[in-house]
Amino acid sequence: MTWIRAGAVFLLLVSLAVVPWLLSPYDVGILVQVMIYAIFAMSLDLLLGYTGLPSLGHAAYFGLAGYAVALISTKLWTGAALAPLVVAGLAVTGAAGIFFALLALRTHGVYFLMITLALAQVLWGIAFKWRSLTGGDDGLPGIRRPELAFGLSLADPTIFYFAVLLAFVLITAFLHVLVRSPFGLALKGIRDSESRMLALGYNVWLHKLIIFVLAALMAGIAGMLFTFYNHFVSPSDLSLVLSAKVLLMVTLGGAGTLYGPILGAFAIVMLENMLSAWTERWLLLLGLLYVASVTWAPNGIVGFLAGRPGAQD
Amino acid sequence: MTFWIIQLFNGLSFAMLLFLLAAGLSVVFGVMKVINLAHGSFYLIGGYVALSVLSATGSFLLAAAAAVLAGASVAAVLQTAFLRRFYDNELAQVLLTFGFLFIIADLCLVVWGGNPQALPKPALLAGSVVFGEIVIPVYRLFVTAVGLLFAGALWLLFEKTRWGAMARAAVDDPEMCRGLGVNVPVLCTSVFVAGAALAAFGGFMGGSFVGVYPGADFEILLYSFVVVIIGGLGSLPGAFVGSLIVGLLDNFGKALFPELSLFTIFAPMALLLAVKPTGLFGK
Amino acid sequence: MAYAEFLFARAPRPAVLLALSLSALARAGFAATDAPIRIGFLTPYVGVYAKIGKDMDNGFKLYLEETGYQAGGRKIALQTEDSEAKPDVGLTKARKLVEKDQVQILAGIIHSGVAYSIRNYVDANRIPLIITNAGAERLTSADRSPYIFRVSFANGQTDRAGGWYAATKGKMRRMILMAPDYSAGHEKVAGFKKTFTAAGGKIVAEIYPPLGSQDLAPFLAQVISKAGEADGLWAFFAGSDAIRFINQSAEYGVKQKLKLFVLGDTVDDALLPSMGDAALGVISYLHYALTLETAENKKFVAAYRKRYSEDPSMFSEQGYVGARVISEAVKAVKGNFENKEQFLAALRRVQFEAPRGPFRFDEFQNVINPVYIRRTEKSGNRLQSVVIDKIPNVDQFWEPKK
Repeated sequence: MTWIRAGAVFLLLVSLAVVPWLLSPYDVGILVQVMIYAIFAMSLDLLLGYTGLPSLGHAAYFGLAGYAVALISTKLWTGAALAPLVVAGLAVTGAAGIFFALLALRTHGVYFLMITLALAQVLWGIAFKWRSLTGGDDGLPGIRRPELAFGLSLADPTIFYFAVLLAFVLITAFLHVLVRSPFGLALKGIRDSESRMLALGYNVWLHKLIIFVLAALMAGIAGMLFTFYNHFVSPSDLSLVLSAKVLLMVTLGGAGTLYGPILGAFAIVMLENMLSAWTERWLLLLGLLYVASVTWAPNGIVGFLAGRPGAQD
Repeated sequence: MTFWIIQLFNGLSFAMLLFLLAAGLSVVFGVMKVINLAHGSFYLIGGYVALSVLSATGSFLLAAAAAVLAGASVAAVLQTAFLRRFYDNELAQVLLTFGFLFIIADLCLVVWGGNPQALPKPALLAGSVVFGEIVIPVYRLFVTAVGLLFAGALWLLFEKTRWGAMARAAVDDPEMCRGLGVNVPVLCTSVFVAGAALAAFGGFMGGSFVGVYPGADFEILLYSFVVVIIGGLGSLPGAFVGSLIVGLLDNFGKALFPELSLFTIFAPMALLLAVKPTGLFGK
Repeated sequence: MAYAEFLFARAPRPAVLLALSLSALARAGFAATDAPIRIGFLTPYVGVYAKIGKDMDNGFKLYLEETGYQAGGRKIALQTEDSEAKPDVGLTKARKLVEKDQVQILAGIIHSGVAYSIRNYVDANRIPLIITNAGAERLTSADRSPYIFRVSFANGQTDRAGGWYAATKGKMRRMILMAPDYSAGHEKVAGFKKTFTAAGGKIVAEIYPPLGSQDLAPFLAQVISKAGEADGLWAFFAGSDAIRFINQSAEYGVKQKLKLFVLGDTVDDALLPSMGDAALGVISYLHYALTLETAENKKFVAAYRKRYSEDPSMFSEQGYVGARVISEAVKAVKGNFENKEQFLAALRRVQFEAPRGPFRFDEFQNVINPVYIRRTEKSGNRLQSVVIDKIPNVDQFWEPKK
């Protein structure tokens, strides 16, 4: 079994490595989006699936990191290299993550949903209304992809593809290790019974804080990549619509599994790109997808494929 | 002085409209623990149905009744066919209501077209009251009166009736409530339908004030959220006080410091979240 | 692992690859005159701008239908996409149209943010873009590109004519200005101020409510407090903001104190039924009027009503004109569209009689428009904007002749 699995992963990596020479630039772009959204969805899954913290404002970190690199590279330091941009983006996202976690972790369940939503809306409000800084709903265009060493530049689509692929593979591998580590097992313990973990002497709050900030940082990485990909950032990268979309990716794929969110991201990105060309009524279909996935596949595609009954848990 | 009186009335009338819109969201949250992202959609349904009925019959009473009925029926279907199956699964409920937000928005676009519209006002309420320098539109007085009336009626309903007592009990302790033999599913459905009916009525009232247009659902939802978060989740007095705060702050903020108007709504919310995340009246 | 399988499934099989490369060869090798010209049309179909997006789409398609989806002997294939009026979505969709659907021309664009977000993309990929609404002024000045054409207006362009008219023939020497606090609002105010003050007009106050203000009352109270010092109130609002502005102004009796002088969007024909008598007597200015008595406009309005059972809006007309511009340029190069330099040159030279009046571009590839002064009047039960004056040949840098 492990051999088959290792072989499959190897084959997957090889196929992803040759993709830029096989697919059209457009399809490569779609694949880049899938991988970025997959990182974003996996980060939410850390909170939602592994720790039982349902965040309805996860776009906050995605968009904040995007705005951070956008503002720095267009207003403060044009021509900034990748490393300082990423460090600055992560610093801003991490700080926001810590601050928001301190507020949100005082609550549970549906109140947690509500407060994460509200905090993200505050950021959205600032991005939307502070026009002189953020460009309002016009967003910030013209963001350059930074140069790398040895004359390479992320502006080259193939190099950008491999940068995203590298981030995707590293993060997936990291999560693979993390969720099997004692820390990851403690998170699952918190998800299943917080009181038992408390009784066992775990510092539940600290575990939650760490994973909250880690998830924020990962979402930030996705957000920065997305901003570089589009050369552009706008309030919709912070919006409730995006927060709900990434929630759908996680639940559609299967929360609490490593590759469920990847599947979910793939499915949603593909659907969004196909539906709108096919019909003007795609919003209706997307709405129906939300309803259908919750109603008929509550455990996501992964649960559905594994033949788990559609239990209403 | 004139300035203050005019702005006070402006703020008050906007606050009362907000109360009609936010009260349902707050109580539904309190009783059912559901974050209803489709709450603004009931505003849209109410406004559009009122428009159609009004242009067909010319009767404002019929239009209001139809708006309320339409909002309540859609809510009843949403609750009994979908939401009720996911009791205690707040995530599934959020995704469901978000799906319905999209579905209802797109169906409204198909049925009523995308032109922004506004309900005409009844001739009786169309003019303005003038005291010297002070001009106050009659319709704003009417909205203020209706809002106060509803606030009073809802308060009586919650404090003085058996249904209200059950709803309050469900807010405080749903498990206990079930143990005491309250039929929680029926209670939940009635609360959800009543909240939606109120928002649909808000669509009728707000239709000639704010207007009805694609995207109104989302804007109304966001305003309602701010009110509910400031006032406190699940609290009716909280929704009332929250509406007053947002309505007045918004109005005076815009009039006195127009360049700061971006912060008049989000700043108090952010501040409160930092100090008391459960809101002024929340537990 | 499940996801391995379906990622593999996405990789083209050899046969598919072969077919793909053959078709690419065919495209490159035989610059086939029978291959259609592919146009991508990008506009919002959902959300706040859904209706005006659809109007533009209707106008664009109406012209293509009238000409049988061909020009200069070439077939025209149209692919539409939904920008959702969001800059990021617009960019994704523009890429999709160009890279997947292989469109050779882009047209449409309601939202200036979307136009900015795709500006560098069309410029770098040498895709002609025919903007049929988005007015952000830099698109045809500081940030212009040889590939970007605009058939609608630049923000401030129409308002330059308006400002001059207000201070002179309009007899409004002292004005309060009011517009939503976003870039288009500020750009339009700037255009108005320029010619208004140059003609001796005095600005009493400038008021900028946030875009999408649910309640304009606090701002109208400021207008009233300054009303004694002014002759008129100039305003620009669109969509639901416009309805709220006109109706709430009437509630507060602004019309009794000040002359209302607005950009045409504020009393758009589609919004008039929701305004009723509150809009009566308002003077507006715009590069189009539904009631224009020209042969071209009568023909356009009749055809549009027949096809869609409703009146065209300024956006419908802009879509219609956009399609005609492309079509005229293709005709001018006799269908030899693949020679891009020639085609761009032909686009720059396009001239014809449009429903709004004579059409041509300025040297920055932005349209030169007539501007009509209109008054909202009642005819039977219906409100409409009746043309009372006209200022010809207004370009984006227009100033009155000395």
